[in-house]
Amino acid sequence: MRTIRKDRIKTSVTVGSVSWEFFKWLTYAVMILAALSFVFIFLWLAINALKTGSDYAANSFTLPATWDWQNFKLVIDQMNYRNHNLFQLLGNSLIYILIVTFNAMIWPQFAGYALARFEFPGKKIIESAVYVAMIIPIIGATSSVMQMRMALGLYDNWLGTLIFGSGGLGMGSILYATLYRGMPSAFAEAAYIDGAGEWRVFLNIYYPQSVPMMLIFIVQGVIAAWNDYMGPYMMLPSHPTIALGLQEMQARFVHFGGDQPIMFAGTVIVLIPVLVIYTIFADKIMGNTAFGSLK
Amino acid sequence: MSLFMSKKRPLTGMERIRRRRTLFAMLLIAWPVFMFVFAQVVNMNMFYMAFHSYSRVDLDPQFVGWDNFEGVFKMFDQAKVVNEWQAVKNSVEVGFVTLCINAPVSLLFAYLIFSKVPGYKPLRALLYLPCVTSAVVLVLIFRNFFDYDGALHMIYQVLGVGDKFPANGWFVQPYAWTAIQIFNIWTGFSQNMMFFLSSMNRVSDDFVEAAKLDGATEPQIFFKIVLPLISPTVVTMLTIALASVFGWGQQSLLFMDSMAASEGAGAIGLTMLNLAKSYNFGPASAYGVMLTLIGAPITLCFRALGRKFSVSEEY
Repeated sequence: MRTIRKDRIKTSVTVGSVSWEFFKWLTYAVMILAALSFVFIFLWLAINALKTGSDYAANSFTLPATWDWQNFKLVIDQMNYRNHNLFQLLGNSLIYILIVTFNAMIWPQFAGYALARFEFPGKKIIESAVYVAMIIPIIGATSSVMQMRMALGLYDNWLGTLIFGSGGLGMGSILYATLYRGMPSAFAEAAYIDGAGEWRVFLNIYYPQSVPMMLIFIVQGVIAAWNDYMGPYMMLPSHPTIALGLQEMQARFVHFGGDQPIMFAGTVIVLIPVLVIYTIFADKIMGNTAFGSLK
Repeated sequence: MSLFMSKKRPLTGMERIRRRRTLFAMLLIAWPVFMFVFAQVVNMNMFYMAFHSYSRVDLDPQFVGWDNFEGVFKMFDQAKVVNEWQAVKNSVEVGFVTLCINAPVSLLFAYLIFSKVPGYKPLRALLYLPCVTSAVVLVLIFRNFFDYDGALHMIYQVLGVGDKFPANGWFVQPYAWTAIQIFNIWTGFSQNMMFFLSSMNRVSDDFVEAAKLDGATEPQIFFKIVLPLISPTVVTMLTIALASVFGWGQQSLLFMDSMAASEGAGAIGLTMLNLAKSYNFGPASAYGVMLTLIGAPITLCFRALGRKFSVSEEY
């Protein structure tokens, strides 16, 4: 009886494994194709950014007949969004990034540290409220945010971006709270005995230990801010960033035509900083297992 | 007396320390709590705005009753050439692609990288590229590739099927939406793949090793160990993905600009964005309220159902 059962199990597993192996390697092939497609389009973009318009129109898959670096000069003249030139757009992107980074360095840590290491009135209510707010989706509140920012004089200016981005209570604070809870308290206790105050313990002992995780969030925040289109499009129309400039260039091309390679040169300019940052921090971003704790 | 004092003193000291710690914690969290409450006020303001009209110059609200909701219902009038049903249909399709194509693909890709297939490190780095690349850049490349004078047309011609290429390119009716959906599939698995992979990396090797020693096959390890252990993360990510479907619209905007709806590439999220951007705050809020009342229960039921079938969060 037992032998028959074993045979049955063995047969089913073998059949399952054969189909699984086939399915696995088929998925692997698709995965390789997907990965190569990204390499391909970036190479395609870079090569065509160095072509003349006629060279591109003749064949976009060949190497440039003449390597036309002029496109990178021409894009400086042609990239424009509501009278903001390339350098102004880049400047706005940098300010946007600085604001995002400033907020990412302070508020989630403050909230996370308070929730992790202290007991205070209302703590349970705050924790529950954050979880409830995270699971109930509010759809279409953009108009409310716009109206509120207009009413408070915080629409279309940097102060509004700074204040409205300074929440801190949410996924970030939960991840930092988990991190701070897991840190040993021996150093802090020694510091307390030596007479250190709360700020000193936080800033000199706990905060530095959260820097590696913060660095990953900041790198991701910088990349997201550089790439962000909807934020500046909806809330900062008079302070357009480089992403808006590039989109405007594309829209102008669709409506009025023009030299695609110049537009591609603009795209390369937008792409390079991100790829450099990604290359430097790829291992750190990939190694961040904090994402996996989202439950 | 001195005995009484000596009993009291340490308590006073402890209390002082406790009070100092409480004050410090409240000082740290004061601004985040204020902004959190303010964010909820902003969300609730949408319900108030749904019953008011706002002019662009004057933000003073005028009570209009159900007018904004009537305005939203008029958008669904099928007598109109461009009506909102198309946007609803498209958003449902986005939901289908997100949950039924991109989610399983990201899960499978994550598992292959987790099981260290050949070249898993460079593959992981390359497959994450859509997450670090601006949507504007990806759309621009994709559009120029698919457009009438783009590389895809050339490929059609080389293959001898040039006449099969849409005469006016891909970014007009009825091809535009198909092209955008192809783009969604192409770029949509990356973020969740990384979340799933991070979650898989937290699964203890002991579980996998013990299963292997017991003779478990790879499908058994995937379905009986890895998938159940990461199921809380899977449910959370899918819930977030489902909720985001209601606000989805950026890609259509980037691809089609103001032509999205007329070329059959609208979406409900885009309609709301366009209403807000054109300062039609009342109708935008009314539409938001309606979608929240429909979307929130759907999302919460999905989450509750998912949690019922997922394992405990503690492992």
